[in-house]
Amino acid sequence: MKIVAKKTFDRKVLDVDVQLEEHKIYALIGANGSGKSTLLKVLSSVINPDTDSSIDIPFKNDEVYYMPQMPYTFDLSVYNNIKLGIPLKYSTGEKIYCKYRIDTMLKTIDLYQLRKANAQTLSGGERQKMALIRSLVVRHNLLLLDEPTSAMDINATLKAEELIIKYKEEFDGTIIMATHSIKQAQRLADVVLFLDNGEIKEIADAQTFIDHPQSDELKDFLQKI
Amino acid sequence: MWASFWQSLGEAFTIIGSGNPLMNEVVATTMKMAVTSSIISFLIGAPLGLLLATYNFKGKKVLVIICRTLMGLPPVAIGILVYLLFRGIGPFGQLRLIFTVTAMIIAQVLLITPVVVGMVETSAESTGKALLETRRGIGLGSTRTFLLMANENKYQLMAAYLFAFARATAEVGAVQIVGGNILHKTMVMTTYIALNYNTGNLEFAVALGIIIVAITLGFNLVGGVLQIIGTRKKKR
Ligand SMILES: Nc1ncnc2c1ncn2[C@@H]1O[C@H](COP(=O)(O)OP(=O)(O)OP(=O)(O)O)[C@@H](O)[C@H]1O
Ligand SMILES: [Mg+2]
Repeated sequence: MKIVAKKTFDRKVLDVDVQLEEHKIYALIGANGSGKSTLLKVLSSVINPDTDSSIDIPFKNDEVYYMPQMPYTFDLSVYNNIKLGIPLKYSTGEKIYCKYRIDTMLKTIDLYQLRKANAQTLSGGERQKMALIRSLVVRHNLLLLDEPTSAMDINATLKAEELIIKYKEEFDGTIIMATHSIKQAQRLADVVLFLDNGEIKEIADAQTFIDHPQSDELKDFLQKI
Repeated sequence: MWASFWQSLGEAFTIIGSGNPLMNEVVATTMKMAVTSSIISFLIGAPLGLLLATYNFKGKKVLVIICRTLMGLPPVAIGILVYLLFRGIGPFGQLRLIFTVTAMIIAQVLLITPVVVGMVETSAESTGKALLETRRGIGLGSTRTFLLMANENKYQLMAAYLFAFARATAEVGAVQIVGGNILHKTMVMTTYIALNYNTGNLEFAVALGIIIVAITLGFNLVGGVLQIIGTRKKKR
C-alpha cells in the first residue's frame, strides 16, 4: 500500500510518500516532534491531511484503528472501557468470543483483578494496558499504536509485546507502531521507519538500523540510546 | 423599624406552618409550571449542549451566538413575544392558550432552554476536546459518543437541571405577562408577590418569598456541589 500524506501546521510537520506491505509490523521511530503521532493521526483520519495531499490507503475509515499516545479514560469500569473496542454490529457469538479474548489478555498483562475498578482510579501504566487491550480485541486491517508501552515497566512492556505478537499471529493485520525503543522495534517489527523532521529518512529492518545506520541523523539518534 | 420586619417574618412563618389552602394551591401551580418547563428545557437543551460540545459543524458558531443572545434577553421580552403570538388575535390565538399555565410553560421553555444549552456546552466542552482523538481513533459511533459524553458529564447535567428548576421557580417577568396572575388558575408564587404584595396580604407574600428563597437556595446549593464534584472528577 502506498502512503502519501502531508500535514502542515504553522510549519511543515509531515511529508511522507512511502510504499508499505500489508500483513507486516512496522515500527516508527524518531525524535520528539518528528511527526510520528501526526502520521498515525492522518492515516486514521483523526486529523485531516493538507488539502493538496491525499492519503492513499486501501482501507475504509472504520478498518483503521488508532490508539492515541494519551488515550481518554472513560468514567466506567476497566472492563467497560475495553468493551468499547467491540463493534456494536457484532453478533452475540462474536461478542462472547471478544469477551473471552479480553479476559485472556487481562490475565496475561496482570490487569484481571482490576477489571471491575473504575478506570479513572488506575495508574498511568495500567490505563495504557487497558487501552492496548481495547485496541487488540478485534481485527483491524490497519492497527496504529502510538507509543503503546511508553508508560509501562519492563515486565509489563514484554507482556504487552506478547499480546501484540499474539494479535498479529491470530489476525494477520498490518500494524504500525510508534516507539522510542529500538530494542522494542527489534523485538516486534519486520520493518523500521526512521522519521526525521516529518520525512522518512530510512527504511530497513531493526538489525540493519543498528549495524549500518546510513544518515547522520539516525546515527545521532541511535548513539544516545 | 426592625420590629415590623421581624413581625412580618414571624407571621409569614405562621402562615407556612398553618397549611393555608390558597398557599398550597399557589405552590402547587408553581411546581406544576416549574417541573414541566424545566424537564422540557432539559430534554431539549442538554442533548443540544452535548452535541455542541462534541462536534464541530457548520453553523455551530451561529447556534452558540443565538443561545448566548437568548440567554441575555430580559424575561419580559420573551413574555411579550409569547403574548403577541398567543393572544386572541395573534397567529396562535386559536389555541386559546393565553393566560393559561401552558402559555407560562412555553415562555419558560424559551427562557430556560438556552441557559441549559449554554451551561451544558460550557461544562462538557473540555471532555469533547479530550476524547476527540480516542473517539475518532477507535471509531466510536455517534450514539455511543453521545451516551459517553452524557456519562462523563453526569454531575454537570444534574446541576444544569437543578439550576433550570430553580430558575423556573423564581422567574416572574415572562409568566406575569402570559399568565396574568389569575386566582385559582395561573397565580404562582412570584406573580403573587409581584402583583399582590400591597393589595392583598403582605405576610402571605412574605411567606411565599421565604419558600422561593428556600427552594432556589437549596437547588442552587446542591447544583453547585454537583458541579464541584464533576470538575474534581475531570481533573483526575
Ligand atoms: N495541532 C497542532 N498544532 C500545531 N502544531 C502541531 C499540532 N500537532 C502537532 N504539532 C507539531 O507537529 C510536530 C510533530 O508532532 P507529533 O506529535 O507528530 O510528534 P511525535 O513524533 O509524535 O513526537 P513525540 O515523540 O513527542 O510523541 C511537533 O513539532 C508538534 O509541535
Ligand atoms: Mg507522538
